[in-house]
Amino acid sequence: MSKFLDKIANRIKPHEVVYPDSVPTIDPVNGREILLEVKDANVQFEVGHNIVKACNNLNFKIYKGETFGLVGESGSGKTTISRAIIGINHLKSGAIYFQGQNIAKKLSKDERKSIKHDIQMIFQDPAASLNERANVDYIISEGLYNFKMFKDTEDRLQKVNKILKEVSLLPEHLSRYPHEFSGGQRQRIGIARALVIEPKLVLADEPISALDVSIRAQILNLLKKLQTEHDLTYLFIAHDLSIIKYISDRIAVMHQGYIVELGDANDIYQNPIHPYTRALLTAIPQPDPSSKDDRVKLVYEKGDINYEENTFIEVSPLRYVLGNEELIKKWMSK
Amino acid sequence: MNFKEIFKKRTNKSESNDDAQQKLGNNNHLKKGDVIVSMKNIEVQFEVRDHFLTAIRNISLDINKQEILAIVGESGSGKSVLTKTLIGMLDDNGHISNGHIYYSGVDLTKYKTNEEWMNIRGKRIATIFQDPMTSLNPLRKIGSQITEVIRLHRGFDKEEAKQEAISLLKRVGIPNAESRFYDYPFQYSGGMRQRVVIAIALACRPDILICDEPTTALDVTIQAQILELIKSLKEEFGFTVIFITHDLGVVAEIADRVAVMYAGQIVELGTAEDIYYDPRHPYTWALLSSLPQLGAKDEELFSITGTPPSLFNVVVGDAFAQRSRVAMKIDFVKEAPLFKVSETHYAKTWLLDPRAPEVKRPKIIGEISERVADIYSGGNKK
Repeated sequence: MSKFLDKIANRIKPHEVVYPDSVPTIDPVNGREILLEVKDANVQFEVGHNIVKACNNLNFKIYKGETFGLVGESGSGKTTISRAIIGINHLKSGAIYFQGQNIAKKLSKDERKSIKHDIQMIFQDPAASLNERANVDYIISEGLYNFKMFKDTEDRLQKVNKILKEVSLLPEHLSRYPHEFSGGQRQRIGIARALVIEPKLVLADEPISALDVSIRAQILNLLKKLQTEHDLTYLFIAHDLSIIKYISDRIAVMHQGYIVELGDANDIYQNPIHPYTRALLTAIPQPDPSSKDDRVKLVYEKGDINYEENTFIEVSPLRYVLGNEELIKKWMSK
Repeated sequence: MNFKEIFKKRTNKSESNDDAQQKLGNNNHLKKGDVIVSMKNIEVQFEVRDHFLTAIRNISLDINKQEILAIVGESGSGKSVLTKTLIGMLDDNGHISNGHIYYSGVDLTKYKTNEEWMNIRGKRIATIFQDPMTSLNPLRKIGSQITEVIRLHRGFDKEEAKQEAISLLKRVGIPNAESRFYDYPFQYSGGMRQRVVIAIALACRPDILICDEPTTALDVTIQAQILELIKSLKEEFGFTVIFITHDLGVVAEIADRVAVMYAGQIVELGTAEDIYYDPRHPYTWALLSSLPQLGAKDEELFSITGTPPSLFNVVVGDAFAQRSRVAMKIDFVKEAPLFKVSETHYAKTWLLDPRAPEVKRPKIIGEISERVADIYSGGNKK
């Protein structure tokens, strides 16, 4: 009985911190415009009697026009937080501000719809995420129908053809079905589908992991090109550090539901502080046979580092590490 | 043909194969670097709806004892089919239409039945696949799955097999091997499962270990550990590794020699150094320079346009010519021979012909070491 009551109490416990409904969108530190801000976000899942803490006190900002990379091993919570941003998972506590508005609370239907318009996703496996019984025309236009973004059929086709051209597909592809395309082309359809309704933020969840080596470069080039043309902001999720440097401006490294390190992409690669980041960096298979002998592969031993007791400390401007002062001093001296 | 004739034919066949089996010698006399498997002009065809798809087009390859040979290529290039040919595991609609595979004094292309292959498959040539869960039986305990192999192929009794299995599990890095012997596969993590699969593969002390993308499903840190494990086991047990992957980072990490495959052919073959520092085939150039790992932020990545040719048709000329930026007229007409660049290095491109004009390699090729040092130096700081 008491266990049950505890559970209830746990559920309805009032939040200690009250998050305002809106926050300023200009970062006072550097004057850049913040598109998305995640504040003390916690996501938990109840599995039977156990509680899985998938995301714990996540804090990060994504500036307008940048690519923010989220790296971590499987099960580290990177997809969970991206699903929380789009509203599929609910926060246990904390807030998510999109353009200054809290979108993690209960929203009206119209507000929710407008967020879906502004935030879109690109998925890992286009073969699984595209409707295989719909032709390309419908797949791409579906968003336009949902948001009533066209005057007449001509206007709709014009919009569809424009985006099709931008992702280097041909007008005759419109009447075909997803199974008729190669992996790279399917991912292009997935990108066209996401971008046709002109979102502001795109959550790209491992968009190239399922693709063949020879076409990864094409898709990365395309994503970069579209970013400048449409003034897009990306949240780019990947499971290792090897490709994320090329695409990201800033990187957050996640481990077991915590962000252990966050900062400028170059800075993280050149000067990793947290031992997990260092282990992740040395584990990357580098395309250079002679480097393998003089490289020390670090194994990350979590040991007595207790993430729950550690705090997110700003070690230099906009560079954060999860730890305590003593630990960070130790890591930085290495 | 009447029944008698058919019967006669069958018995004849099994007789000739018995001969083949008797000759299957051991390879203990071979030294490191000697040829252990020799493939000559292998061609593999699949019959798909009355059409023939030529998946392997005339490959000749010698594999040396105790080397790690990496086979690289995009999906559909035939890298998995090539290794399946080696263990007689082609799908029912596929067959070796030409060529010979010499191993331990026998021609493996003569093998027809499963019984014949049982002497090779698992026992002499073992395989590790991408997803360990598909190799393990989810309903049986790990211990019984390992001891089964040991008892079947090596004739140990129950207790001996158990001791051997536990020592193997210890060797591949399973902590508390004695108690984990009684666990089910689902109680193991992904990396640990792959270690178990490696232990099963090594239970028969194979000559050759085929690794078909063994680390693709694993996290990077686990991947690094498994690669290290394969390398150290190779030194200890002295087997040969054929490593299939599409990740050129992993190849650099593990391979002694690299074979680059494209559209069913080996287009370039050489030591890892040859391939990374002095690649000659335009396809190898394209693969290397399109690596996102090497890209600088402000420049566009080199990308390969188009798709590989359909192998249902006869490929005329160089299969890569359609997608190559440096293709010459002859590439569309005649297939290039395998030119010899050095003792260890071969490439199948007309660019190596003395009459060919000089073609500049993509800039990124010469800069690989500098770029890697520049990008990844942070992790190595002591």
